[in-house]
Amino acid sequence: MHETSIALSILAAIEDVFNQTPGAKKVTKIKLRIGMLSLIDIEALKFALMVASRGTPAEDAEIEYTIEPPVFRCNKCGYEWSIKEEELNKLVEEYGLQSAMHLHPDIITKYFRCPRCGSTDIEIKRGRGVIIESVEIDTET
Amino acid sequence: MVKTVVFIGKDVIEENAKLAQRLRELYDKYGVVVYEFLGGPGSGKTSLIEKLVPLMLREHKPERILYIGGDVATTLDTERIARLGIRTVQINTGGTCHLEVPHIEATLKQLGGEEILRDLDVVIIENVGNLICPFNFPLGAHARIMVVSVAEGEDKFIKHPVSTKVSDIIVINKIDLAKAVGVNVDYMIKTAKEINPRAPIILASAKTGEGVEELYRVMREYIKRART
Repeated sequence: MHETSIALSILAAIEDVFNQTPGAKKVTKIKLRIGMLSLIDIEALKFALMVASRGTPAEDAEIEYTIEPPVFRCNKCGYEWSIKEEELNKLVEEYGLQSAMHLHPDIITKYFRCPRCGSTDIEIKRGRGVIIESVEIDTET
Repeated sequence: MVKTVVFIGKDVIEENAKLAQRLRELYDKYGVVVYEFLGGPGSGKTSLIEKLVPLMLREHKPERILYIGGDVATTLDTERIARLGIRTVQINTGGTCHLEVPHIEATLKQLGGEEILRDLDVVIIENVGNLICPFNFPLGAHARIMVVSVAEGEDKFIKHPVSTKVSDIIVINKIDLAKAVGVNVDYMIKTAKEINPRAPIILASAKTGEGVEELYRVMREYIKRART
């Protein structure tokens, strides 16, 4: 349900940009980068964006997104690591994680551990965010 | 028509965290310690707070403690806490599954603006019963206290790893029921510790009072942080 709040924040930010763009007519595309650990359900977010954008310049805009793999940092030994792309693809394939968001519990516990020293005292440095990368706006001339 | 691409690069989760940071600065300016309780519906957040408030009243005047209760509907929880004589405010989100910074800002405004914090020592925020969404929306609290009851099943922490990870204190509540519901508490502790080695884990029962003193002792350590 928090997808609605996120959608409203996204649309507010886009509206600011739209209003500052001379001759802006319509938002045609929204590009997002969604952190794998953001606890966002992408289908729910897309639905929320669709509903909340009605009657705004972003109505019917195409939503494009990429998944941002998490970056972890070990508090004990300082090692930083991520999930490699092939591993990510495997996860998506194996678990049908189209959104890669609802991680299988054993995956999480596997990745919530430093591969160098084995400590579980780790920090999530990246991968919890929902980033608006860019918007495409149709403008007059 | 011309297509214009505007790069934004704005992280909406990060933006919210920044708003929460501003709230934290405000709490610190007035030396108020703020606790946020998070957990699923029926995990016992309100009951725990009911047991904690009398302990707080040993060192704070009732009017210097504020309880903010977030719920989708009703004032039931807040009425329970109000009976203890402290200040209370109910926020009905009307459907939203979590509290957000603007809810807290509006509450402070309603109470007369940020100056109200001068008259407070402690703020207790009880978030909407939900173990997923609220964790994405920090409210600037000094300690986020995750409440999980044994009756919810022993896999709770692995099933909610991100929420477990971002909590400062973890309470395993209704510990008196562990045997009856056939839950392995050691396993719960082990998984919680593995995911979040930093948060102290308190075994408690709001019903029998077990662990409540210990929880309060751990919570009090955050008072110092609020004053520095």
